[in-house]
Amino acid sequence: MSRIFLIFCAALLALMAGALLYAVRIPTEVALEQAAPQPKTLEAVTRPVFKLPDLEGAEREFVEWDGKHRLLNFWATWCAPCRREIPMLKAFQEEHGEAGFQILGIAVDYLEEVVPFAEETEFNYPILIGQQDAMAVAESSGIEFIGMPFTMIVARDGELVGAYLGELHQGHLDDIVTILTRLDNGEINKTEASGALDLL
Amino acid sequence: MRKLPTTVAATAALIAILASCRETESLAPAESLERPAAATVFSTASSEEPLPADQVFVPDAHVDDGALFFRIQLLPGYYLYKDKISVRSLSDDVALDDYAFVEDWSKSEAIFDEWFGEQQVFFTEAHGSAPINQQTTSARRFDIELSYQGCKKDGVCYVPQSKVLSVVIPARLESEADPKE
Repeated sequence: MSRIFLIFCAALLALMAGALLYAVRIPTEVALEQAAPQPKTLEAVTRPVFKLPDLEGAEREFVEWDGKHRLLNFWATWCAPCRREIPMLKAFQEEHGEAGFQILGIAVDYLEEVVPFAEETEFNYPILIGQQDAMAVAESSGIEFIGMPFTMIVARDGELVGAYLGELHQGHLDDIVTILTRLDNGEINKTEASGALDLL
Repeated sequence: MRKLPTTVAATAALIAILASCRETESLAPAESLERPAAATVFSTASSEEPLPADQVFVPDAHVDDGALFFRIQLLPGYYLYKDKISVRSLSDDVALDDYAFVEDWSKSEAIFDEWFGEQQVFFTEAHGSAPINQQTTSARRFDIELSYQGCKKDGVCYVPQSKVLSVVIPARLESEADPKE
C-alpha cells in the first residue's frame, strides 16, 4: 500500500513539475518572438506608377516600358552586392531583351556619384535616379525599404508580381525567366506566378 | 503512510523552487527596461531575414572625463564599415575634436571586397571617443549626430544611417576648466 502510494505521489510530482516547467517556458518564447520583429509590411500597390529622372535628367515614366516584363533593380554605388549583380544583369538584358524582358536600374544615390560609375560600367539598360522618391517606389511593393539590392518584378501588363530583398544570383534570374515565360504561355496564372516568385 | 509528510514536503519544496523560477522569468522584461536597449535586442534576435537598421545597429553615447564616448552595437551576422562611421556635434557651443576608434574595446577586422578592396569593418561593436571643447562649466545636454553604414554578411547593404543622440555633459569644477575659458 505504502509503495503504491509512493508511486502515486511520484507520478503526481512529475505531472506537477511538467506543468510548471511548461508554464515557465511560455514567457520565454513570447519574449523571443517579440525581440525579433520583421520589416514592416506596408500597403502594396497592384501596379507601380512613378516618374524618375534618368542619367540625362529627363523624367521617365514607368508606363514607358509597359508590354515588357520588368525587373526594377534598386542599387547604389556604395553597395558592394549591388555592384556584384550588375555584370549578370547586363548579360541577362543582352540575352533576354528581345524576348521582352527589361531591366531598369534604379540608383538610390546621388547623380554625381552615379554618372561617372555609369560611364565606366556601360549599362545596356536604363538607369533612373532618386533618393526618397526612389525609396517610395520600392516601398510600393509592400515591403519596408531597409536596404539593397532590392528587386521588384512587374509583369507585362504593369502588375507587380514579386519582390526580392538581397543579392540576385543566376539561379534567381533563370527562375524568373521560367516563371514569366510560363505566365506568357498561359501555363500558370498571375497568382501562381506570384506565388512561385515568392519562393525565390 | 509515515512517508506522507516527507513526500508532501518534497512536493511543496519543488513547487516553491519552480514558482521562484517562474517569478524570475516574469521579472526579466521589467528588468530589461532599465538596461540599454541594445542589451535586450542582441541577446535574443535569431532571424535569418534582414532586420530593419534600427534593430541591427544600436548606437549610444555618453560623456566621461571631458570626452564623448560613442558606441554602436551590432547583431550577429552584420557589419559596419569603419570609414563610414562619423560623429559631429549639433550644438554651437560644444565642439568635438577629431574622434578616434577605441580599438581596445572594439577591434576592426579586414575584409576584402572585389569592388572596394580591403575594408576595415566592425562585426560586433564599434567604440570611439572624441575630446569635447565646451564653453561652460555647468552641466548641460547637447546633441550629436552619429552616422554609419553597414551590411548583412550575405548580401544586403543598408542605406547610410544618421542618428541624433542627446548627451549630458556633467558639470566641471572651476579648477578643471580649460584656462582659455
